[in-house]
Amino acid sequence: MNTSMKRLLVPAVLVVAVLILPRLVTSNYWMDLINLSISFAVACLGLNIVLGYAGQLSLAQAAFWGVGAYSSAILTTQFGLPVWAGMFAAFFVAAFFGILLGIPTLKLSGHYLAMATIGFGIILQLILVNAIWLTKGSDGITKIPSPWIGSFELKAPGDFYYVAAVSLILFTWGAINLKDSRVGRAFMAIRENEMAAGTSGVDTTYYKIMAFALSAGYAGFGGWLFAHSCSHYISPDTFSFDQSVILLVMAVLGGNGSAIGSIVGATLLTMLPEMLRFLKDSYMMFYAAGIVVIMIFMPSGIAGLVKSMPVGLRLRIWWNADSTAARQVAAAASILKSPDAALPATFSACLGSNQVLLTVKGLAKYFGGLRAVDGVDMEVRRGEIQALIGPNGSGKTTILNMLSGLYIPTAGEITLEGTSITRQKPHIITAHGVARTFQNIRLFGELSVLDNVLIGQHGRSKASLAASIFQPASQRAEEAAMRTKAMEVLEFVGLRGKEFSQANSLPYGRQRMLELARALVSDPQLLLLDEPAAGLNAAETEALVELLFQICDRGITILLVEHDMSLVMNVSDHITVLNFGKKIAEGSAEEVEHNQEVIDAYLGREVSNA
Amino acid sequence: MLKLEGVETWYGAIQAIKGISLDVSQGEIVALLGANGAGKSTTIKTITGLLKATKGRIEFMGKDITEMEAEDIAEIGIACVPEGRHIFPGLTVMDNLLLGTTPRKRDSKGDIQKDLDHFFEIFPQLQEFKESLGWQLSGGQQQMLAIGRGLMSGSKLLLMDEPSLGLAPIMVQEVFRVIKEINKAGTTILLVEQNARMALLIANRGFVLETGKVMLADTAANLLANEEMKAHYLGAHAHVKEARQRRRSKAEGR
Repeated sequence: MNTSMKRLLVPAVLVVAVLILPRLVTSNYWMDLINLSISFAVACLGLNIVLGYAGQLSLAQAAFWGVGAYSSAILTTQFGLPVWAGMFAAFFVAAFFGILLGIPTLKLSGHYLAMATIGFGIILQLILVNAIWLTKGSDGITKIPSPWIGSFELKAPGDFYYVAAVSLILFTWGAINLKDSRVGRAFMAIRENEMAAGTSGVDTTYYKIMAFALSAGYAGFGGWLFAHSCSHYISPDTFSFDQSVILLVMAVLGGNGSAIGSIVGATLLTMLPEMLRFLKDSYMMFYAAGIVVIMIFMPSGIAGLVKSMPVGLRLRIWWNADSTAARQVAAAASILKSPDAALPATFSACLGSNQVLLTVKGLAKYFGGLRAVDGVDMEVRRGEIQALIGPNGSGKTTILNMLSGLYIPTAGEITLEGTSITRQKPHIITAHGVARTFQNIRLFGELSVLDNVLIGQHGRSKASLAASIFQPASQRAEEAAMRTKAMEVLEFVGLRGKEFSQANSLPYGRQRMLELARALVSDPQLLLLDEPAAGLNAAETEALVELLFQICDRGITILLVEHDMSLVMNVSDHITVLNFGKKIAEGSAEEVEHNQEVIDAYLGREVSNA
Repeated sequence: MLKLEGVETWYGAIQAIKGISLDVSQGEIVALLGANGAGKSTTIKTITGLLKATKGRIEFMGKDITEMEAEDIAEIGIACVPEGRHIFPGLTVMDNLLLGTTPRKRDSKGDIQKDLDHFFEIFPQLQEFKESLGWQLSGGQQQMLAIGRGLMSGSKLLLMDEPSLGLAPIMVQEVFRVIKEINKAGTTILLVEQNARMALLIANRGFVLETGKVMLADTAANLLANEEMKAHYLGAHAHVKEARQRRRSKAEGR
């Protein structure tokens, strides 16, 4: 089956299914439940964005759901706004509250974040109860109108269903689009490794707030669907913490990170209690037990289970073959086949221009009483390979962390090409052309090799949130260019053919290469490498040396921290030696090798087999 | 002392080791070498019971331990210094070391204290960090702590997975000196290393793995002299020097 047919067939089947569902379900009661499921599903899709994509646990989703419901209900009942306009109000007011939640919780993670979101949700619910002049307090708002199309009121559940179904499809489409886009990848980068996301050029603050806002907006829209269907009545107790937990269970049960999973989870948990009603008094117990059983046997949710089944796997391969990503990768690969198109060797920039690229003056970092780095001066000249060596704990990694913006120096100045980058955030420094790798590899482990390298280009690409969701031609062109470049760099480090492998499934040495690729793809002027040869054997180290020279030939300056002297002494044009946070020696490999202080503190003498 | 016969292990859908047989005798240092992905760490994880062999047999001191759980294997006298340190970051250095003594249920406090003193003799650097939390140590110090935790178990067999990873040359020499020392004191050692030359300098015998199989097994001295080994694992760094020469001459030609 060819691509266009496949891409048409699935939506066609979907449309037919949506159209005939109200004909199959004749009971208003069940139709109401379906509408309720859809309302939950949209809120869950939002939770899936903040939790599944961006990895931030939010337990305030029901409160945003309520904010959406109330915004539209108040505007339509008290101010006579049309229901269709209430839809936008629901989305944007909730998104605004999402931003309010996002800002104070930026410094929190894990259970602290979860607790803060619980508190936020409770505050919102209290406002709904107590701002009686606006919300009518615990009495709730009654007689919320239905939407109209011309002179036809969509009051019957079977009619409102079409509004809900179309919304669900659009919001699902948006969530799925987002997953494979610049913004979606930034979210996932934050989830996988926030530190590496920052040094790859992602403004983690901005994108975390964006994830909260978007997630709240989805919930708000779900609230709009809820307010204008079913009972046409809302009251604060619906939007409680308990409901937030249920939404969380829906998202996790369906499959964290999967949009379709969220819908399945929401539908299942809305329908299941109703189906179990025949059990009379004990139905809630069976419902809870059912959830526990599902979580035990499907730890990655229903979506995870389907994915791991042979049928699910085949389905994915069928759907992903000829996907945009696959086609763009294939196109990039075919360009690379001609050897001339391989990377240009711009040797001119290599081997020292005597031009200073990076200046470090009096750099210091204290951790409490510990002086990890204590007043270091150094210079890195453009086109050189410079090494920073010293005993364990002498402050090498701390310097790299300050250079890449992960640590704020206690004192001192860092200047790149005359511009001070001393107290800049990691993504700003990356934009200035400084990229790095980490001592303990920090890849976006659950993402594909290709996605890792695409995230490395974050700072060099533009697609906004809207472009990431709606994917206009300009966004698709940018994606294609990014993929071509990603393929070039993967070819360069020898990872061609692995682009769709999961990053943490690669062997250790390959993971190091991938990290290098992710750094290179951001077009750095200065590449900071923290122990690139750690865990590589002699043959792999030799290959790395070859690669370092090639990187240098492309005009990229390298500052590396490394303990493998066979590497350091052979590649470095200049070596700086640290001990206890201070510089103890500096010079060429030959000079440093024979410096007595360096031998005593660091190099030692080889053991013999006595 | 330790014997593996035709052991096969799967890592998810990938068969990481495909029938490995090796043996370690009492009092030896045996080196396990090979490229990344050759199956060294998987072998270690299979011996310690973290992964289960799907085929083959593992014997320790005449006892079949193939099906045993990791904690039981630790108790009968196999300790492990895992790759990548894996110390307990939120606990103090002291607590990390004391946790290492978990399998020693019968030993007196005095014995444990003696071993602690011995540890701080070997790694005096850590003396002043006794009450520091694990994460506050530098990479090299963490590695020393991981070795120390392994030692504290008082086990008869110590498996070490890349103990020299990320250490300064002087510390690498120190670690290898310590390995020799603890071996002399009676602990048998199975050592996984990327630094093949250093490992073979202190080992009695070596096994070289390639794509999940034992490709070479010989005495350390023979392996050190083996041409194939020199080319692949010992690294004469001929290429590196050559590349550097090329780069130099290019620069001068400019």
